[in-house]
Amino acid sequence: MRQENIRNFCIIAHIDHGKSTLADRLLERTHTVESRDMKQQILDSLSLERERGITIKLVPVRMNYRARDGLDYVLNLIDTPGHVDFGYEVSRSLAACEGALLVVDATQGVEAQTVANAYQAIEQGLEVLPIINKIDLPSSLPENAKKEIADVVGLDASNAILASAKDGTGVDEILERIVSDVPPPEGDPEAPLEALIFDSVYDNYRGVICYVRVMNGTLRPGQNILFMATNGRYPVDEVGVFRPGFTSVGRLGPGEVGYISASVKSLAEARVGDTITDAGKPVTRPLPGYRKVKSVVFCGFYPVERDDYPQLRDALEKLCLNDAAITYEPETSVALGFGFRCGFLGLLHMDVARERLKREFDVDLVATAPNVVYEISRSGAVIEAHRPSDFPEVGEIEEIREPFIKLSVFLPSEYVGKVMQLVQEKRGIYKSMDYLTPDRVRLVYEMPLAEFIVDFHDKLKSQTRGYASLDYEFIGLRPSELVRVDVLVNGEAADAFSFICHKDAAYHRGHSAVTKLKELIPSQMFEVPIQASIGKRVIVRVNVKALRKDVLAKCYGGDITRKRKLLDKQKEGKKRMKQIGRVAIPQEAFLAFLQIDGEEK
Amino acid sequence: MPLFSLYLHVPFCVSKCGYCAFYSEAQGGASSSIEAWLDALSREASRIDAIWEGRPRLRTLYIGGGTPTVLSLFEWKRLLRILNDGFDFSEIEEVTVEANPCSLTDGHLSLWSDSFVTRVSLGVQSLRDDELSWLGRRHDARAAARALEKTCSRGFDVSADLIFGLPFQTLRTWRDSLRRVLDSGVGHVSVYQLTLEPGTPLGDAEPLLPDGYLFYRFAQWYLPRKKLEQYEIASFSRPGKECRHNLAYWRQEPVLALGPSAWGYFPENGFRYRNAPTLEGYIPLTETQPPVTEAEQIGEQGLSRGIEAAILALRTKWGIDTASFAARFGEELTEKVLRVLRKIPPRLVRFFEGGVCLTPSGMRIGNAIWVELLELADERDVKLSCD
Repeated sequence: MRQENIRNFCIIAHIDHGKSTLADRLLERTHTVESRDMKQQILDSLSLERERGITIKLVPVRMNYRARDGLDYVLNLIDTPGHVDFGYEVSRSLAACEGALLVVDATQGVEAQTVANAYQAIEQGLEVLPIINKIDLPSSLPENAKKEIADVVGLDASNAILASAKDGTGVDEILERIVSDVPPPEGDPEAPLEALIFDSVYDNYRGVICYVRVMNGTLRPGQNILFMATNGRYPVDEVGVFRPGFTSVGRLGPGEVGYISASVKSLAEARVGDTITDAGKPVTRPLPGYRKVKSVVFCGFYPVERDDYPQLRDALEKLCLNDAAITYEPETSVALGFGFRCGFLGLLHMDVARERLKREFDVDLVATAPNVVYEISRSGAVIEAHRPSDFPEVGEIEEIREPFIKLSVFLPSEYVGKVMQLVQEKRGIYKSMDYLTPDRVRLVYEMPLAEFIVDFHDKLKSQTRGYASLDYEFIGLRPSELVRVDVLVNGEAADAFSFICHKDAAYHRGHSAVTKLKELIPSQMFEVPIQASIGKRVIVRVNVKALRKDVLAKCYGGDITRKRKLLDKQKEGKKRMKQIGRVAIPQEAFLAFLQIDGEEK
Repeated sequence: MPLFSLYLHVPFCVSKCGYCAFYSEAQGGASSSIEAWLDALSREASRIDAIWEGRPRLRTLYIGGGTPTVLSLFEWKRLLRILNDGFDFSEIEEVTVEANPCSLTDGHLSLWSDSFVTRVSLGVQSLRDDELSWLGRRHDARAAARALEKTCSRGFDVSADLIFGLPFQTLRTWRDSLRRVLDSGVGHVSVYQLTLEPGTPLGDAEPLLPDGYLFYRFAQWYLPRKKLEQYEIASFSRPGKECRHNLAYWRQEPVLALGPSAWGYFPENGFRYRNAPTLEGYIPLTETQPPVTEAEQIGEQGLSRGIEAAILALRTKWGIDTASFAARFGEELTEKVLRVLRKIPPRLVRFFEGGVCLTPSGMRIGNAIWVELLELADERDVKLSCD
């Protein structure tokens, strides 16, 4: 294929704005997939993606298109995830493209994440084609959508394509505009090989399969290649393209998008973002990789049955082969035993990982509530605190800094009051409010990430009946008046129940913590005080009443044996509990504290 | 040969009560099956004599069931004869018969008072008609009260069983039952909480039961005021009227079993055994061998036996006698047991010169304390696996 006849593009769209349907239409129109073979939305191949209607992994596909100018073109579509958590996947697909379709729902207008992704595309120098979708709907307001693209994103939308992915309107125009507006890739087929790995997957038979975009030079089977970051050298077994299944080809030239397999055993050796070059004729420096992915949300994954630890470890390893953005390291917990502390890009990312571990690897796991990382200065030194136990004594702390985000919420104006109240409860700091149209508003707040990750998104959705969309970016660490609240059970500090919160919320949170524990800790032979304290100062106390009756009254003759068996059972039950001082605490109590649930702690 | 306690199980009832999980054949048992059972008892008794090379000397005898009073006078006479022939009653201290108010007759009482029977345990359960019918008992409160008076007037030591924790029971109805039982002159009361046993009609219906705490604590307060002291978790008696047979259980004394589903115990080797659980299995076995079908040895090295001994002793008001416990199970285990008990809050256990026992509050939560003692057995397991 001639290089000037190649077009590489991606689609940027908010969830539900019709990206997948549009992609399906493009595949159909170019006969890449015949409509009778189409599953609904074939690009979302993970079952989880199809269920949730979201794209998580990017999936490339190659289409052949004869344009109105009579020439044949190759169009490479690199699908992108729409959710804010997967911004890094977006940046990866953007790096492999020269153009982007910006899809906006004509009935809803621009949503928060769309703005961020469109900015990224513009920043990377991509040609952005605005598309107003769903114009077939009676409630569509294409002119409003155009105006919003101009006002909110700042792109000229006067020549935006009006389309309906559902009934096919505008699809031909989109294909033509991709050919005419998106520039062909540059690159020299004779230059030393430079290919960017923009994704990789693990295949049980072929090892790692790298998705690549060739920048310069040519990739062929049999070629000896060098992974520049890891210095791994491999002969290429196969090169191919996505039609949309893996289809082997003889070569991949500059500007082409495809895959290679080279019997690479682990994803660590073929990192996403790395540059592949020719081992015999290497380039001197690698392509710029991606912005370093940084985990912002952490949580612990533990096997439900302690014996399943090895299964969980293997499953996590395999999952990370597939999703390089997950970080993990082993940790142990009093209540849950051996497990892993995992880092994620956001809450949805965490949720998806958990769900995939369950479905694809059949691992039953307990996920602890998510947390952020704090920075604490004490006597000149700065430490990172991942968990409450990392916090020094109150007296030693000079300053605590916590991650803050800038939050943009796009919402119908009728919900402004409710949302402002919600954000303020979450320690949000008002920045700005502007009307995008008379009934759509953009609110900008700054708020602590820790407040955001607990349940903000769910609350926002329920407060606005799902009409609000949000985007956030990390804006750095800021000093905060945080305290560690400890929970004491019968006078003994129970680490597992400690938590960090703002000092103004300490009483309220402490109260609900001890009340919840009171319900979960069974009566003991003595009255058990449960206290919440900050440092040495007790802020709230409740008591678990002493056990009153625990006896099976009848016991004659042979009953002694039966009785002993019952007691043995009771003893086994007690063994499964954790002893904190003299108090036996059932695992459910720990789980209730550690696990993610909708309720506040 | 030691002095034995003998437990004889009568596996017949007029009908099964909704809560009862003990073995019995309902519909009173055809007289032919009672006949066959008596034949088998007699065979088992001679076999016991053969094993012990003579008639075992009995300290106590307990004839329970089932419902012993479904046996006719004729059948009773034969039963007493079998017992007399099979066992030595020269040192007998107590012979108890369980009786049901609706099948107990004057004839039974006359026959018993002419024999070695000294004590009658009446299954009263409640003296409220509504509670009795909910339990599926075939007698009403009046019949139960009449049976109590009749039995007491014959000069037997009389015990009444009462159940608490019924769905619509209140402290007032419980007090009524307790008071009317005491008014009849009984010297012994056993109280126990209704427990739902799987496989029984009530157990499978899973009714909602009230917390038994209030009823039990009330009995612990009320009965001692009426001069019935609590001498065991479920037992209250006037001085000297304790059930000697049950003490044999709490003290790990030798017990012989007779009849289907009866249990026995030999303390020298910690051997506890059970006869075939049904008539069907029991009768043919007696033709050829001792009808034992289930047995276990409690603690080969005496450790579990010691812990069981401690738990059983703590059921009683006498508690653990430190010196005799140490003599049986060694200083080390004694010290371990005491160490566990010293960690229990003081309002639950009482240390006294030479021993330790549970307080009334401690008796209410006995299970929780016993579980702590059972953990001693594990400590040793852990040590062994470290070696």
